Amino acid sequence: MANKKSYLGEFEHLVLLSVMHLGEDAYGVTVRRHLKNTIDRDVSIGALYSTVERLEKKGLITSKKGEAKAERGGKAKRYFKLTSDGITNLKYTKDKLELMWEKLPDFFSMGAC
Amino acid sequence: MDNKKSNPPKLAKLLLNISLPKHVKDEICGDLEEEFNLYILKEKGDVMANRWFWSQSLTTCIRYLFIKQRLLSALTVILAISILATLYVAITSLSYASKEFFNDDFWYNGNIHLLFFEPKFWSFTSNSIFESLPLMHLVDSHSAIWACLALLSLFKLDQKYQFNTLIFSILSLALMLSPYLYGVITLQLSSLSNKEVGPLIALMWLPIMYMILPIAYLTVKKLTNSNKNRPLIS
Repeated sequence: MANKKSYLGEFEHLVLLSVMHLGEDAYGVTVRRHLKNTIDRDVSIGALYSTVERLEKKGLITSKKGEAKAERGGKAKRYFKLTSDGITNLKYTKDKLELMWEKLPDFFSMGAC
Repeated sequence: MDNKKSNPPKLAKLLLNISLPKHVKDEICGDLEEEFNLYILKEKGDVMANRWFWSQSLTTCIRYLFIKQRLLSALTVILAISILATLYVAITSLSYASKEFFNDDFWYNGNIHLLFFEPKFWSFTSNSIFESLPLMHLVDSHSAIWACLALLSLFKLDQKYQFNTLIFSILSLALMLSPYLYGVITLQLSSLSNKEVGPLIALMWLPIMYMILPIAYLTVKKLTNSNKNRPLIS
């Protein structure tokens, strides 16, 4: 059971959202390209796998080996999937962030930044 | 665009294969190759795609080469080999050095570690590093018995209690240094003659020599296992 008190880091949050968005097709290449295409964030493959390992340790995602293809040099993919704890944790983080933003209703319209 | 099929640089692939840990090697190599073949080649062309693959490979290799566990393992091995070599030279000095070499008080009052801060020891080291020491000079039955018993106990205790790396290292050091401490206490409490001091010093140094490589090996194995014991691959 993931501990709600183990808060998500910013990049962990982004990876979980990508995995959620990609569904059955979430693996290293697609997650990286999703982050690049959506928020223009270049992520090194090493950083992605370190984060995935950490998320898996926290019980927020699981992974399984997939098929090996010629364009991958015959190497297998590793597919990621959100666990129910991962979904709960994402929702918890979203709620808390929204709550924080609600405390600043006119922040942007006031031209504060 | 030319029609010939480009492949990722072989040397970069070899670098990845050498430096990545087993549990992520296939996935990372496969992901980079797939991205290279399906996207980067089309988007950037051959030359830039090769450059992209090199940059991805190098940053990934550096990230995985310099992880804490690997640095600690390398440090453990370097330390173990340095101590082994230093003790080998120290034992050579016991066998071959002239009488003046043994005039200092620290040989008789238990502060033998001061030898390693003596310029004469290091000058002896440079002269004697290739000196071959008869194997019998490295054999001492008491030290061998202690080393065997200590390693066996360590192994059995570790099997039973599954120590983490820190506890294992502390216990190993305690067992390895016990004869040394015994020697220091004995030398401080009693005044021994020249003939008695030699075997005692052998008992202080040789168990460390016997035990240091197996302990370094087991520590590195433990460090590696602690890195592997992640619920990653289903």
